[in-house]
Amino acid sequence: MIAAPHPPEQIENDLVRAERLEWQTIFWVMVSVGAMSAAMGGSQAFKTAWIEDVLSLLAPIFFLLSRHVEKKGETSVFPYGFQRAGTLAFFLSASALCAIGAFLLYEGLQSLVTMKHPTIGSKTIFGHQVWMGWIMIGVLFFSIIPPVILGRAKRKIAKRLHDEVLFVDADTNAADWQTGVASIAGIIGIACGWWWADALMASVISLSILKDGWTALKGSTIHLLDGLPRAVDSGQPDPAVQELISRLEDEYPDYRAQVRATGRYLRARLEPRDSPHLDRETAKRLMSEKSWRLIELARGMRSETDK
Amino acid sequence: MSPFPRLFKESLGMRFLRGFTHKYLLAVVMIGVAACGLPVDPRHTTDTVRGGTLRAGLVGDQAQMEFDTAQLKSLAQTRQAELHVVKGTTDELIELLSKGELDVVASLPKKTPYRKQVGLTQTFAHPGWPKPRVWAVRSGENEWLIVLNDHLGDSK
Repeated sequence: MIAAPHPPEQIENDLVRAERLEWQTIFWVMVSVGAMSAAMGGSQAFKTAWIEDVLSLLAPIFFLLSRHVEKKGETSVFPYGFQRAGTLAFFLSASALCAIGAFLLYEGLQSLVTMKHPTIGSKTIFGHQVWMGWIMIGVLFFSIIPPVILGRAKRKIAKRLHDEVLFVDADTNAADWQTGVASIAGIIGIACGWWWADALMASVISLSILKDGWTALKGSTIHLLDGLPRAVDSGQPDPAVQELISRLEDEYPDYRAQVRATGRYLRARLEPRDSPHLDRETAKRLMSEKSWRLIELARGMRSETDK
Repeated sequence: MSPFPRLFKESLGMRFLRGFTHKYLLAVVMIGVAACGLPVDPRHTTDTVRGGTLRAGLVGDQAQMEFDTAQLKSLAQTRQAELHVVKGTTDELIELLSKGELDVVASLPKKTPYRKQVGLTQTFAHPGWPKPRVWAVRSGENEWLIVLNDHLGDSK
């Protein structure tokens, strides 16, 4: 078995830190689900928050799973190793983020269209009737603190690691705390007698979540199609890669440089400009059956002196 | 190499948290001050009942109705309102309640199938009853719901 690529120590440390952040995320989401179920019982509002929390668990889980397999080296069954596990996780996490946005938008619009007037009851606490809306605000207030902190930390590390899953997860955390703030505003609105406040806030926030989700989904699709590697934050073609391509093409003028990302790693190839694919005769010699499928024969370079 | 034991070794963002709690606490206090007199009803049930008419739907067996009537009478008294009672099937009464032609329906079983269309009070039970009951209000009337919970809570 051939070992997986070894990034520099700084990057390794960041990876360990990222894993720890993801475990913390899972922990806090669980705590938040527990606190919310205590405050809201089995209400509809709780159901919505619960579905959202479960969806926001997906990105951390995908990250940890992809990290787990990424560490494995190349095997006979997976001759390229598992570097692209991160790309698959990126696609799935982006889908989850889109699902969160779409779900919130659906719930919000449905409440607005059917003019649902949300009812929040009261409970006797120390002999006083306390409106559960205030309790919910308290719980929501504490539930938005962890995602703010975790999301910020993840975003920074994600850029250094060039880790899209982690970046999408930071977006998911942003979605979490933004929905939390929106819900607080919504409940205050309900208290003021504006039945539409909660649903309207949720719908507005859902649009920004959908936008992030859509950008990520687009980026991961480009990634899966071996498109030009993108910058992790903007989703635009990575300037570092552009530089690499032009440098390679300067040094090897007869060749066309192709760069693709496998997970966080880059693979550059030099293709002869005059013939795009392997010639039929060579292919036939190497493969007796369906030789038309073999279009490329490449030899890896391990140093520049390897010319 | 489980990261679990080292989870909270570094106090992630504690400094950040401290900076934020001050601002948040202030916001919470401000919300609290503003919250006096909230929540209010979107359709003003509490206001229209006070000094007006308490329109109540009554459903249930004999013993239940006696208890509910006594409760409604004392509620109307505390709100300086006249009590107007409508009897009918649960279906009819819920329909009237949803249209705003009733202020309260007394009383329904706790697991009423109508619970998604209306707002429900806390459950209250009585030694003679087989199952705990709830009163229903028009959905969204949160202030009114607190008034009823308060009243039913006192009657225990």
